Amino acid sequence: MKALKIILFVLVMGTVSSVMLVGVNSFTGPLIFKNEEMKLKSAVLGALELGYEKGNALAVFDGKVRVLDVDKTKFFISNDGAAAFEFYGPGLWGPISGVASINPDLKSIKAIKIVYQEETPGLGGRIAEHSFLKQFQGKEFFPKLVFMPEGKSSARNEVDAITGATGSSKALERLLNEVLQKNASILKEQLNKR
Amino acid sequence: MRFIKNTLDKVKIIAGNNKYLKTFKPVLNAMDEFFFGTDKVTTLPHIVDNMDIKRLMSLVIIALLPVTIASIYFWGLRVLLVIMVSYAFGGLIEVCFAVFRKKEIHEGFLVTGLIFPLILPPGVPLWVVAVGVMFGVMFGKEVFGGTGRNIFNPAIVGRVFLTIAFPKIMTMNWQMPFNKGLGGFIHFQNTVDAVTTATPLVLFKNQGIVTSYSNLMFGQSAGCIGETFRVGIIAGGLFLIVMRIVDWRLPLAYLATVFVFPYLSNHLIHTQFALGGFQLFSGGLLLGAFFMATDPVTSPFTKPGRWISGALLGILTLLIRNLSGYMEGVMFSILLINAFTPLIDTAVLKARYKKGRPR
Amino acid sequence: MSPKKTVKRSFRHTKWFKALTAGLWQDHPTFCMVLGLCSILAITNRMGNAIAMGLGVTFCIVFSSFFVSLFRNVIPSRVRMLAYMVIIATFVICVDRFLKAYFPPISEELGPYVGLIITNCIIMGRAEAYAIKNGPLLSVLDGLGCGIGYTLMLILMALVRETIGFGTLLGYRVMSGSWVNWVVMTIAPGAFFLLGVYMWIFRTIAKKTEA
Repeated sequence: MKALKIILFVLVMGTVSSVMLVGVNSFTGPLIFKNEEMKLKSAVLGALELGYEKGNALAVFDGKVRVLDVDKTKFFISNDGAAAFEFYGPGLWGPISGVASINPDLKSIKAIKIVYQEETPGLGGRIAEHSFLKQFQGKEFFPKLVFMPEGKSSARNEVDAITGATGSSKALERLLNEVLQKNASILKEQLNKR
Repeated sequence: MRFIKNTLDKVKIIAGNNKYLKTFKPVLNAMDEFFFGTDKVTTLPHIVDNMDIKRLMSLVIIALLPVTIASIYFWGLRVLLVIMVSYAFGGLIEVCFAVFRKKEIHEGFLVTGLIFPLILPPGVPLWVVAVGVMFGVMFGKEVFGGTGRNIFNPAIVGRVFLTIAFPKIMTMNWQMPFNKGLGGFIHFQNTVDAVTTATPLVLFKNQGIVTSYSNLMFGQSAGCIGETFRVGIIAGGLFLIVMRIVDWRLPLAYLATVFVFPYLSNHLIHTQFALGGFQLFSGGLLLGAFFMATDPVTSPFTKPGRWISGALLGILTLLIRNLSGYMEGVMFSILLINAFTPLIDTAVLKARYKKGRPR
Repeated sequence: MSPKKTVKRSFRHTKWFKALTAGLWQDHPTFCMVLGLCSILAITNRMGNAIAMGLGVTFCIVFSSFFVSLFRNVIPSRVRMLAYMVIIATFVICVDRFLKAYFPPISEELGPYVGLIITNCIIMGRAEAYAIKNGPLLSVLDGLGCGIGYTLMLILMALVRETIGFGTLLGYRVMSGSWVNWVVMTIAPGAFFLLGVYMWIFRTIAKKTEA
């Protein structure tokens, strides 16, 4: 009898709280979905350097960007032919993720945005700073993007690393080379097919 | 001297009668002892050996003198300023706690205050020195109850705090040392634009460059203020060992492990460690092994314990140096092993008593 | 109780007032009970996060205490822990969804720590130590007191950590341009030392006022 009472109680409580949560979910679900969509799309717009304002990000995205699905990678291609894609991989202390975009020639970088990183604040964490990322513009990643000691970069495939944060710089170098070359060749194949 | 004595006595009498000034009595007593020695009379039985904590500390200071003078030559007169800031602000914390606790001021700070500047990069801003030494003395020593009760070496606590708090300042202020004529004795500091360079460990890790032994030994490489003149460090360390201040077992175990381990691991598991000789003479290893790992308060008191902790220190240092994101592992490993010191001692004693024979 | 007695008693000595203020000083969740430290260490590096977290925890304590207390005669004692868990989890998920929907930047900064409010011992502790034995209104007051006490602690931590760790407060620059950020204060090790100092100060005061 006592056991029955316990079971009954657990059942009732479980049901009540589940119903409550379903209610909360149906209420907040669409908003959360919209927030996440917004985050990705504004990051893509930023990487493709398409101007937008806070309110019209979604409209700009729909008007100027088309999405190309290849296997599991999503490519976001703007009207002028530049392509953006998400990337993620290991940094020195934690994962790094971001959005990269390449120019229509499929050989050089348009922009890099870091969305998430856990590197040492003030040292490796500077990989997410605009002053560091803006130097990637127009750099070539064939045969290889190379990080040079600060102030020593000169060639078209060289950028300045961050002094004192060799580990983070190396991790980002490896990650970018891998993802840029892989995605550029996938994209080339796709474009040749058509 | 008589003038100082008279003034001190007068001030003491005044302070003794004034209820507000009474709190500063420890400061006066410390000054008195500093100038004129203790006037405490001990009762029977007397210990014949007159090695007290104060003499022990002054011998360590003497052992550090060659390194300190050499560091002024290499990095300029600014080093003196850094040392003064370290003594002033560390001493301030020491005095504050002595006043609040109504206890005497300990002499332990004399060594901490000198070692701490020696393990900072030469271009370190003065306010960073002040913050570091205050943090080290407070959280490395005073919160545990003062000299003799600390678990961790206060100088290293301060240094690690600075490394984590100001990574940019602490990893980017390396300079090339003076090497001509009177060098740093007539300059305040090396001119700013001729400087930023990398330490031998960084050069090896990033570009595979091995600095030559003669440069490493005689201070012609970048590094912390007091860690580059390695001949002086070795001489000071040997002096301490000969004077029986420092037990030879721990440094020997530490250095031997660092020397042998890279060969073994390169052969057995094909790692890419720099070879033993370079490991020995780069970074703060020698300074750490002779002057900091052997701190009488924070190192094991049993002999096997010293061997064990020396070996552990060596392995940890190499692992951090070669496999982590940090360039130098000496201070982290000393801090870690400090935490294990009581455990090592207990384990050693237990193993002994199990065999049923006294120590 | 006769009306005469109630008049004599000052407001400060009513059980209502005691229930509310216990969590603010003499039974303070952080420096007296030393509970809920993981979120104090993890998320107090920015003032906005601290306030959001404090409000979230307060909400969860108040409501879970209320419901636990309401059903205290119905909850079978053998499964009471399970009952607390379910009630607390329900409200924590509410907070999590709410933040994700309306404050996505804060939700992102707090990361998994919103979900981890479930394991915050303060809430479980109040349910087991207070709400299961007292009426709903008293439990709500007690929960509110603890929640506010906890929030104040979070704010105190964030005040120092954001100011010297980032040089800002609530995102506004408060330090001069030449200020060098103390990176250690933005990560958990700095929070350990700061929390230690705060507990040292508060316990010294508590000892003096008691004596």
